[in-house]
Amino acid sequence: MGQEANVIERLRASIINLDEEEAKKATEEILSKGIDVKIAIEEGITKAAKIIGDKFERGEYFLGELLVAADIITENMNMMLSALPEGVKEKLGKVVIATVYGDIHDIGKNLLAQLLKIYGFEVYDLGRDVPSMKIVEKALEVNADIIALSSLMTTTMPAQKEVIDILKELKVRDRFKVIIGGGSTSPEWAKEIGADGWGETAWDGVKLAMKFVGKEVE
Amino acid sequence: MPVPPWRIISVLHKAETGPIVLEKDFDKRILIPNIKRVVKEYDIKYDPNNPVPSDDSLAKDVWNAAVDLFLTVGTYCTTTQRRMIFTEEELKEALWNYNDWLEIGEGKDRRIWTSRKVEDTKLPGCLFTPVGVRCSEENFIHMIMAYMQEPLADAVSTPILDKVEGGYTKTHSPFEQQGGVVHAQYARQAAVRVGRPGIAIILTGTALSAASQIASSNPIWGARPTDLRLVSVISELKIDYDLLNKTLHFNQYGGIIGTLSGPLYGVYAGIEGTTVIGVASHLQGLLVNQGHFTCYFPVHFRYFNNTSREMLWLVSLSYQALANNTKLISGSNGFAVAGPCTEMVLYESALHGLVSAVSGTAILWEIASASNKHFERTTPMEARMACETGIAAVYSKLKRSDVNEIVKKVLPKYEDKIDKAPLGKTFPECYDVKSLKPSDEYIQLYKKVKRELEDLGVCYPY
Repeated sequence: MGQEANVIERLRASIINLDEEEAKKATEEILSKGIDVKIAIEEGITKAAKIIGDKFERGEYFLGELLVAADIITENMNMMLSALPEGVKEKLGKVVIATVYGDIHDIGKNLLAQLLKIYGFEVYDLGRDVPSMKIVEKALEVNADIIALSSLMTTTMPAQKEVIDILKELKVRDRFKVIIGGGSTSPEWAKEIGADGWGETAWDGVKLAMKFVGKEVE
Repeated sequence: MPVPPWRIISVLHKAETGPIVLEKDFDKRILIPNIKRVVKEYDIKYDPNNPVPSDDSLAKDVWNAAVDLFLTVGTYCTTTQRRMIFTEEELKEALWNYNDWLEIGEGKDRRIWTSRKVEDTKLPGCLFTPVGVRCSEENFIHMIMAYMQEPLADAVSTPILDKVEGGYTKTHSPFEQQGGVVHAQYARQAAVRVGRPGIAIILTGTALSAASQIASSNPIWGARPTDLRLVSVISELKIDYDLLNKTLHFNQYGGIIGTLSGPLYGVYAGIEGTTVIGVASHLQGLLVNQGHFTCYFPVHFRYFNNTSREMLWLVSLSYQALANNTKLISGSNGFAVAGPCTEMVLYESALHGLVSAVSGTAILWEIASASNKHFERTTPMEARMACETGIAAVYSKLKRSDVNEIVKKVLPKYEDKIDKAPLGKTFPECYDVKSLKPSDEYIQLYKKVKRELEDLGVCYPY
């Protein structure tokens, strides 16, 4: 048990320190020694994700660190998941995320996408300036749990409303939780357009997404 | 001196022929590592005890780091996924030939803006702005008139028209184009109604896309060549073809172009790195966006403000770096987190104006309220407070060290409330919309805060 804890701790520390090579070595050791993968994911990867999220929140980590962390976590998670039987390979939930039509500003969206990946969501990032119908089509195609819509500009906020209106018109609104965010948006706007949640920051978006899949961020 | 435009055709070719790189790789492997590198190499360190630094060598380091960053990284064109790289010689040529004065507006309402130096005794220009706040068609003209009637305003910006003919002015929809045209017409009408028909107006906020911007250019009823038009830097150090189309059109129409630069603190870098990005984005503004001036609004990524301790440091240092090393005309655009008719927004506004003016900004570009995100939650009173205090700093011949002490005394009045700032009131709640008068409550608050600042050594001329 001591050895197990040690290697899992190494995995966690290497992810937090953004050490790609060391993380891979630790995961290979976990797999070769037959250590319980579910425990390794929970204690190694998930806890590292939480600490990375905290560091971002405190201003110790920025987008660059999140990009690297997301790559390391994805790679190691895939290695772990390949050792699990099919039925156990579940992600927390599926999120279709986009910066809405007309808006080319995607920093907030990118931050949330990276954090969601780090936290174990399956993320379909459609990019920026995405037509509303394309977002809806993708959400239907992958059977998403959550649609996350970002808008920085005041004149592109109505495209968030448009996505929700289309969902209503297609009578599929209840199938998705829709969360919105971005510099120009506000809780009042979220209420006005009938969104399920508003996040001031990417971190708030993670908390909302976790809540919608029945998990709490500690 | 004719710049800008600076070799505009060569710039267009750079977007077509620069080295290809995927955007994620540009961010991860080129931009972010180089931001970290220059902050370390030039040893730039934030000092919370001195929100308005007086260290000229620090400002020089920021300038050198910004030049290094821009020349190493270039500007990323998201449309072609190519890096637009510039040589040192090209940058020097553009900076040398930059026209350091600018004529805006026309007739009796014509004004001249010029570049300024650190602790310059020359007064800065003033632009009064509701920034990007949404506004109903019902209150639109009156809100603009309220801003235009402010005597310090050399120029104004206008809010975003929320709906037109019953439809949201949604970008890329015909309602956007219609909204842009109506917006420009209303703004012109407002200018006539306050007796300032030639005042320079930032146009056209409701028209985000190049197509709608072009549609609102009209010398009779719309955006005139003497008005101000804006082209954004996409955060950070990026551009796209829609923006370059705006640049081309505004230049060919004869308009005055401003670069919109709003680096986000806490995303790509910490406060030191974001300061360097901010200065570097001015270089992109000159060479790529072809801006005659810059609207500079660095903001905290969470609170969307630049009135906190570290953001004021960033604002001050950015302007010191620019003013000591260039002739660039840059407007310091305040973003307050509190809403109108609160003491907090007045303190925030005053400090932003004060710090910007003494640090060398050419234009006090004031000020977004309530983080620029709440319907009709902005008034000219916040801008009045910021501009009058910035002007007073120059009038009082305050130095950076004086302002540093004032900031240190005023910041504690609000810095622990930034994450729970009061939203205050909307324009119709604290203005008589028809007579364009602020409420007595707001006037009393404004007088109280001015008195407090006077006690700290800020001498207002009136």
